[in-house]
Amino acid sequence: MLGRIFGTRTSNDDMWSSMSSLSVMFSKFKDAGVVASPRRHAGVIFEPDDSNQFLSDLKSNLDDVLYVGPGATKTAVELRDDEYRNSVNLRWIILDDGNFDDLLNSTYTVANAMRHNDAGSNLLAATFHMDIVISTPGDNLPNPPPMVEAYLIYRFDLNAYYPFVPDSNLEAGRDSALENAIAEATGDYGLNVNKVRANWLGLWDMPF
Amino acid sequence: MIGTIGINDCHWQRLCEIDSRLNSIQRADLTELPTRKLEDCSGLLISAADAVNGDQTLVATEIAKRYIETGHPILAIAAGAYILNDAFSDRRGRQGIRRAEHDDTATSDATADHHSRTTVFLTVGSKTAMTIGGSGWLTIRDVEINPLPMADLSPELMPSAITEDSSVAAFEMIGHRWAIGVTWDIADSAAMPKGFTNLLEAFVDRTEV
Repeated sequence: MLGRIFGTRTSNDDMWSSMSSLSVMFSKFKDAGVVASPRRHAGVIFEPDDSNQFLSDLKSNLDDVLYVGPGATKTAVELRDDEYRNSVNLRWIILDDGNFDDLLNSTYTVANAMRHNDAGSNLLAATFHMDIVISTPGDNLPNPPPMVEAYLIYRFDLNAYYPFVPDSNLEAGRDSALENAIAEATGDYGLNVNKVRANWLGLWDMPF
Repeated sequence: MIGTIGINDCHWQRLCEIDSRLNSIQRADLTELPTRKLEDCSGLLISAADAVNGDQTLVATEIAKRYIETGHPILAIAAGAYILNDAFSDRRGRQGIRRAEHDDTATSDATADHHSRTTVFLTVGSKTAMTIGGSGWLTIRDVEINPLPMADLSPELMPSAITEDSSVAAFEMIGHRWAIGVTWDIADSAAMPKGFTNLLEAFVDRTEV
């Protein structure tokens, strides 16, 4: 009941602050000589709900939100069913833009529009793809260490990020040592990384 | 709904063949999105196919640690037993097992030997022994057992199956409704001794409301 009155979810200001901090982080990385770059795709994963008017005609509504009016963007958007998780019905909004700031803006716009149309509780996470040169303690790697492909997952319910490095060669399906190193590096450069490891839930087989 | 950690579709299918009731039970992998309320899962099944390094399973260990607090039944099999032991160890503020610290050569030799023939002592009066339906010395053939060193067992856990070299092949928590870990995969072999699959059936019994 209290949650309904005061709201337990992140406010839009907090969400924008978190989203924009990604851009700031990459700028700081560049200034500090850390080799890291975002890729051109982002994804928003959500639980569909046909009883919600906005979600029932989502593509058309997103086209209106993204491409009509003064804030129109060139970010491409695509909807795709999640094919990995059999037990739950989830969908992806995949955003594609070579300009990372525009990609962030569009991701925020999409999530914000869903919130304003009673679909905020359907939002699970936004994911960002990146490459980063990083090593873990004890690594016996060439100098410099190789580029690692990683994801940063933003959980809407926590208003915080965590790294995710899927690796099918490892029993756990993910590389926790690299995730720790990325969490430390991104946290040092201003990203709000969630400290509770139990919240670092996996998201395998992302469609980008 | 049953919560799972480290169980893929193929493994789940083999478990369903042992206990067909699992076919009608919804399962949720607690280590991946979307988030679940742990209390909504009436039991937790943990597995991992191979021996694991604790660093690779930190999220799984954290979630298992939280799940223990629900008091619902837990069954950990194969290397999942290591995750459960780590979860109990962490609760005590003690560093969990790090498999990578062990001598790999010794481990692989032991595994090969254990795979063909292993003798274990099922502790009298333990839930593990009572569920399997026997206690005392038992020789197991063609089942891979990866026992953990006695010194690595969490103080909260009691060994319920011990190998001849005093390693822990199975354990359980005293005082918990039903939290059992066995270092073999009960779905792994057609040669599983009679009674060993009772552990899965007993787990399902306890998860049914």
